Amino acid sequence: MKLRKFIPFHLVSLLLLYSCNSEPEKIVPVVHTIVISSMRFNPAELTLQKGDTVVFVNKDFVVHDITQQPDKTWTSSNLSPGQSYKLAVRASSDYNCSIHPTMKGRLIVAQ
Amino acid sequence: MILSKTFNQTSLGLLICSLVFSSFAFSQAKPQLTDPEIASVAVTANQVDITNAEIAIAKSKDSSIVQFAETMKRDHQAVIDQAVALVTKLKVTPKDNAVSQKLLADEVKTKKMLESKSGKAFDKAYIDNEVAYHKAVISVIETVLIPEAQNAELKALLQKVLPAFHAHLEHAEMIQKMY
Repeated sequence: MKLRKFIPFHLVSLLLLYSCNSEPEKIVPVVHTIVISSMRFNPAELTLQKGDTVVFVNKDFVVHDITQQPDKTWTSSNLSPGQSYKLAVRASSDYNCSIHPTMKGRLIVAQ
Repeated sequence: MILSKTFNQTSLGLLICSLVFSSFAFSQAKPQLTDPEIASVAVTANQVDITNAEIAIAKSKDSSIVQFAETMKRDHQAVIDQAVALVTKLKVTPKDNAVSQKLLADEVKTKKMLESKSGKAFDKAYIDNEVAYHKAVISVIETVLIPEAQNAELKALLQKVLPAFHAHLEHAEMIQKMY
């Protein structure tokens, strides 16, 4: 009888102890790739989490850049073919290639 | 001689109109171009736009015109570099032909026209010419050069550069709206 009462008590205690010690679930930042080819950003629209990283890879045969629009709050340097640019995303942004301003893209940070 | 047999006056006239002066579709009698001739036309067409860009960089005071011209100079040189690398690899020598020669002859007239203008009139003339020229070149690439290219790598290169010409046209039209 004593043992029957003892076991559930300790199971509950262990579970409580475990829940107190466990850390809040961490969101692991994800690295996304946007390929620049045929004068387009692929994908042109990307939804991601705050803190994620985007790597833009220029696979075109001409120089491009990536510039936040409309305020140009961030910009890459010119990317020659084969070069890439890494961006830690903190907020949703519209961007374009300032060299070819009809090339446009959008980063959407999910709420 | 070969080309004089290949082109009749009507088809050549249509081609030149398509290439240089207007955007109307080049849909009637198509000239037959060999791969070395296509390579020559491709390089010449890009070189013509570089020449126009250099005039604009030297003459214009409008930053949007100058930036566009710098992009044209850089991008069209990149196309030429790709074409030269390919013909070197294929051991093909671009062959001068009536289309390339006409492009160069018309470039002399365009250069004279641009150099006779200044200020806003120059900027408008330059960007109007860029819109018309890119429309014409796109039409010729799509309807003549790509369909007639025999070598797969040459055809692939023409297909690869086409989006850049479309982006240039859209960019030029965007600037044109400001004039």
